[in-house]
Amino acid sequence: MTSRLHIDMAACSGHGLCADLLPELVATDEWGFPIVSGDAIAPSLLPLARRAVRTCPTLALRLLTAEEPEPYRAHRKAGHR
Amino acid sequence: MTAPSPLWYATRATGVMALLLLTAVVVLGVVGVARIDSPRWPRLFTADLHRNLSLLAVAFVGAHVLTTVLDTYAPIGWISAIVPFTSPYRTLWLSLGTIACDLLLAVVVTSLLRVRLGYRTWRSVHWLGYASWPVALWHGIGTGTDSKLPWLLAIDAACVAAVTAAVGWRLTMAQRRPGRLTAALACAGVPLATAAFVAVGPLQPGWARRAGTPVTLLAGTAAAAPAVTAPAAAPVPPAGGSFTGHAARASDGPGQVTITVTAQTLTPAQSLVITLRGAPDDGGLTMSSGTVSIGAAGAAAGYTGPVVLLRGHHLVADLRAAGGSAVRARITLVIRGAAATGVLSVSGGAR
Amino acid sequence: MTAPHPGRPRAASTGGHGRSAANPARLTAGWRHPGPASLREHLDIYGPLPRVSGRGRAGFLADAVGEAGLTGRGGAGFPTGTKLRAVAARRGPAVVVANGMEGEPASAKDHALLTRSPHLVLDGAVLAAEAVRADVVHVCLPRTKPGLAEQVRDAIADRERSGVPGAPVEVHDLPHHYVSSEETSLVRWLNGGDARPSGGLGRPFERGVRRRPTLIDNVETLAHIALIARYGPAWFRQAGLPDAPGTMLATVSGAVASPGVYEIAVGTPVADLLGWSRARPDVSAVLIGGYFGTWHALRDVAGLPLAAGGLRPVGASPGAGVVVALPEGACGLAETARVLAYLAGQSAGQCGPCAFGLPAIAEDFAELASGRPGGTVLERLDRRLGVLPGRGACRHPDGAARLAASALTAFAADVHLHARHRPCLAARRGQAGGDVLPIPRPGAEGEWE
Repeated sequence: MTSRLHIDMAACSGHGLCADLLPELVATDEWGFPIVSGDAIAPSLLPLARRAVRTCPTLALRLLTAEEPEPYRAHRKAGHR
Repeated sequence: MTAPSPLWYATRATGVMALLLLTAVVVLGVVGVARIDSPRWPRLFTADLHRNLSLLAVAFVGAHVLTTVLDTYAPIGWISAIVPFTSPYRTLWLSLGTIACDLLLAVVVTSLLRVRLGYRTWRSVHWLGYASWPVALWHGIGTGTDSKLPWLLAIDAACVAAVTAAVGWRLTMAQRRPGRLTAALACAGVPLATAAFVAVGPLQPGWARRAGTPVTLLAGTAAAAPAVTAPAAAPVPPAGGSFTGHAARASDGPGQVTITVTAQTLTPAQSLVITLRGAPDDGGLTMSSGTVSIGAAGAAAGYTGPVVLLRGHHLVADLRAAGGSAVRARITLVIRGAAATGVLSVSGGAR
Repeated sequence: MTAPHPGRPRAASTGGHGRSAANPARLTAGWRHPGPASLREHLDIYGPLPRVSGRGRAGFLADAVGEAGLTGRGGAGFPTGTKLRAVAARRGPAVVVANGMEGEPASAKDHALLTRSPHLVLDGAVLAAEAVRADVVHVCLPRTKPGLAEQVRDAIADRERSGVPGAPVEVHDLPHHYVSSEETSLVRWLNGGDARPSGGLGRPFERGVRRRPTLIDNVETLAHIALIARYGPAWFRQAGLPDAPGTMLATVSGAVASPGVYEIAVGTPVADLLGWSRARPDVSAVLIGGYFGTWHALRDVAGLPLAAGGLRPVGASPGAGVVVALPEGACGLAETARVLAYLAGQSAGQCGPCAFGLPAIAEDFAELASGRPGGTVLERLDRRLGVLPGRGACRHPDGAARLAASALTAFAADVHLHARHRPCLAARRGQAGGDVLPIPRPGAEGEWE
């Protein structure tokens, strides 16, 4: 069962602790906010990923399993793909 | 009664350590939100340090509570560790400690369960942590028997300065957020209130009594066990009523006076003798020991016992008769010159 | 002009709007007259409100709409039948929300529809409510247009007096920020919160207003539902393309002599629309899809159908049917800079990349458009535009980034000139002329709650 990182960007305030813990998976933009790829997490990194979820000051980080769908972003503004 | 035991010293030591750790935890929590990040000190360190020190603080608070309860010097029971306003020793100031301990436990437990509880619940409880720090500080100042010692005053001042500086600095960088005004008021108010409290409280003589130290502990010397005269027959328990009599004040040594009140109640007719010994204090005295005797008029004293509480005009004594029955007498005593008046009430079954 | 059929809307002569059999007047049938069509006039033109339940199956309307191929007219183009079925499949009473917010400043179709044919929208809303077993309809309108709410309330009162059946309809005035028209913003506001998108994991069709399954449709979509219920899916498909059927309302503005709202068959070539609106001969670029859309050189899109599939090859989408014609004399970069500044100010401020990134690219674009950009501005833009999409609670930053990127492509020649510190001819002339794209007055929207 693969997991991937998901960040609730509205809860995120850019503390950057996740990027400190998981530089392999989380990059930061010039304003300090995280950029995650959404790819599956390597099993060796899972413990660190779980720690990152616990450490996030605003609990913005979640581990989603492969089955869980991407959180809903309203189609009103989905635009074209 | 015995002199302060090693446990008493341990209580004071663990208390001071807990305060220092709590101060560090609060400061780290406050400045941690700033995006201070250097290659040698990543944000993670601050977060982890905050967490670990808070657990250490809980350990020291636990030790503090344990040594306090185990120590028999002061009558503080287990219940007082969790429920405020149940301690006979410096009730108010000790209860602040109980409250601070409860708040701290709530903060730590919710933090350990944060992921399950959700952010909003965790956050609203975490704000209580801000309240627990000044409460713990004032508990220490109010309850500590050595609050006026210079080194302890210096520690208290340093803790206040550290937290005030941290909160003040954070306020300068915060945008408008709810609670900002409260924080600013607290930032100014807490140091001022603490300083004022210290000035009119521990630094003034007679603080121990005002703080609510039980009378039997006040001078730190043992109060002699009262001599109980064995009456021929089981005496009638005393009854309440108002009394009048006279009061005599005698000095029986440097810094030692004795006030003796001899009075009678009318219905039923009883004689009442109150003897208070101690250091003169502002027209009254700081009692080091006292006894109360109540008996039928003209007969030998039936019920006798020590004064366990003296506060202003109120006196509480636990009386026993030779037959073993015990009562508690509550006396309101007013002395004007040589005249003494007051009210006596008696309840069966002293504690 | 088609001959009127009994029970079918008469194709009205709309003078200059290019009416033909290919472009029937369906929603706009009663629009000759100014002001709202009264209930009487509405029933004269369209016939009575069909009783869906009278046909037996509760799924009848959803099936009909699905067969008709109607897609959402609010911009996202999601298949409406699918949406109806998804909400109807949930347990418990549902809620219908009619989205009349029209967040796009350059769009006027929802306002026109609500002021001219409110009963079409209300018919669609109560029919949809019946189809999804909703017991209430919420009509969400912008607070900045108080007259609109009043008109809709009058129409509702009219229906009640005349005994028109249907779920109770409530009208609400919401703050009119750009992102307030988004579905999750409406749900959040109706639940007592701010009119800001909610980034959480809740899906309105499962749990929306008062935790109930919620159907949110643009008012134009509901109007089409009202007609499909009357005349059937086959009739609906008589206009438009096989994979993009029906008609749509488009708002044309900019360098055109007859700006306004046009009802066109979906898939009408862009050039035809510009022709009917009498675009000026010097139009060189068009904005398609509004501020959530993209810029294109006219020659790249003129022959393309105004439909999702037809525009996809150039990376465009009809969106909410907004088409703005930019004349040669205006500077596309300067216009885009103004729009980006507006969009930056319209961020809900919930997510860092949007709250920080949008003002940053707006600044970069302003620098680029000013004619004296620093050497690194293009590199900065490139980097920033790459990290904005997909990193917000809603797609606001995605839209702004997409608009900016399309401007850099469509106006590449101007970018080339500006970068060399030579303001384009247009910018020089543009300073004398007016701004083309409408930007609402800042602060006019009111608060968020």
